[in-house]
Amino acid sequence: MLNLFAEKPDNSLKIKEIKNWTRKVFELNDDCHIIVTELQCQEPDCPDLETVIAFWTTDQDREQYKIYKPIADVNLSDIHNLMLD
Amino acid sequence: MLIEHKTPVTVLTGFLGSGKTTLLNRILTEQHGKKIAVIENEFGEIGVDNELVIGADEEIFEMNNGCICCTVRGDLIRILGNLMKRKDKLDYILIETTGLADPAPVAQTFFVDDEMKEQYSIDGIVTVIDAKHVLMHIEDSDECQQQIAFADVILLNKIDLINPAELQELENRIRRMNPMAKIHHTQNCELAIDNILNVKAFDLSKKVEFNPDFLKEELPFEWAGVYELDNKNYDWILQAGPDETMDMLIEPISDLDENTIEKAKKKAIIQFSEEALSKKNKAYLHSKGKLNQLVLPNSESIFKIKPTEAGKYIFLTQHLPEEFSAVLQADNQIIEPIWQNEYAASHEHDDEVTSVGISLEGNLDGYKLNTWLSKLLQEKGVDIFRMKGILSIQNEPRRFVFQGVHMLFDGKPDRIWEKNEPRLNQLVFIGRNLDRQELNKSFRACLAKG
Repeated sequence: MLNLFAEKPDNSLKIKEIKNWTRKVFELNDDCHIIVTELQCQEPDCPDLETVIAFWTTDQDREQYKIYKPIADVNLSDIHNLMLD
Repeated sequence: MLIEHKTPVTVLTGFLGSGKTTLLNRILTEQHGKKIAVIENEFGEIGVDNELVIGADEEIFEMNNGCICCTVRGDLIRILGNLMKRKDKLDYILIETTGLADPAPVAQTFFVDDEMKEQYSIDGIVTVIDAKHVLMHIEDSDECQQQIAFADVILLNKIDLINPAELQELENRIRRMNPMAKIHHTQNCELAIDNILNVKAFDLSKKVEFNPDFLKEELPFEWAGVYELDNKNYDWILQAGPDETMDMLIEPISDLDENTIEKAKKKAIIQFSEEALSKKNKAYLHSKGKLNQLVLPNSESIFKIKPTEAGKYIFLTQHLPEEFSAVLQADNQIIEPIWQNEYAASHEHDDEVTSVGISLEGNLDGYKLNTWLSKLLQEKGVDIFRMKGILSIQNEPRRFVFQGVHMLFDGKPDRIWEKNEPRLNQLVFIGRNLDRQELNKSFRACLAKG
């Protein structure tokens, strides 16, 4: 169940960190725009919260990845694992 | 002190030929000298020199396997991301969508990423409608319905092409689909720009306003009558009617004055949200503390009533008794109520996209409310386009205000309830195939006991 009335955790620093990791691991230049967001998945067997990372290498080419944990729990090795998948 | 300054963004929607580009040109002319970026999906005829007209390619980005609630616009993320890097700050951003665009992914784009939320604030969705030709699309175009449903501001444009009666009928219809939008009548999109820009429709700090006509109290019963009863058997006789069941409450009542009736009504609103006990032909009805559900076959039904003590009793029925030719009888005599009143029946709409307003006094149980709203958004989030509300939560001195787009929910405590102010919950849902009765009933069930 969602807690709609709870204070939302401030993940802004963590998001910046994930963006920096992503830029480094995927060797993206500074112009490449990255988004990091947390989704609540409705599918059965999925964790409550998952992190979506997406970036555009060109206007037409988007890459998107999912990490099946909340933003707060994402670490550098998760980003490395995305490269390996 | 650091003053937060986010660049406001207005989304312009409307069918081809409705007057969107005219409006855009009008804004750019009147706001001359300001740095406004225009993001366009279809290059129109912008007649004003603007070096910041940016073409977009409507890249739909599904973050979660086709779920509309998790769908955003990739092209806007890229463009807005690039605009963030500009050294000179923009004063405003206008996004003109194609005539066939769904506004949801555009609006959701501004909530998806923290950086986006830090830099930009979506100010409002403005929909331009061709008053003459909209009826050709309103029935069968999802996009047309969505553009009306999502709007914060609606321009009923080209009103010179229809007569006042047609305009009134059109406005009523649009108002039923979206009671929250501010509607303006225009020719050539002529109106003061402050009706379009900086309206702060997504800002929870702004006073939330509801149309009082739309939020008339919607009761779970259509009729109440008071009878003087003895401690003996009565028959409540109904003929076949338009429904197969009808909820009915019988409660003792001490008096017929306004306050006592009002108190009984308020108590009944809660009782009607509880589980009803099914009663078939010839069954005894509860005459205190329990909701009865009368099962009505395609023939006459007689229900028995035997009060435990003599006195006045209020009967509250989900439907009008006359729809079932209902009468109360004892010893072969028809008993007439000593007081009765009809309450407004639910609104009915033909449009698939509609709105449901709930206005209910009382404090809400925070846990029940959270459970209800979570379930509602999970199960019906796709069908709920926009929602907005003010809530009174038990033991919370402050009002709770919220708004949402599909499953995106944004809420916060607002000002303190004043001392003698009625604790009135007001909510509006706009969406597709909304079950008015179920929404009302399930929300009432969130009221705190006592």
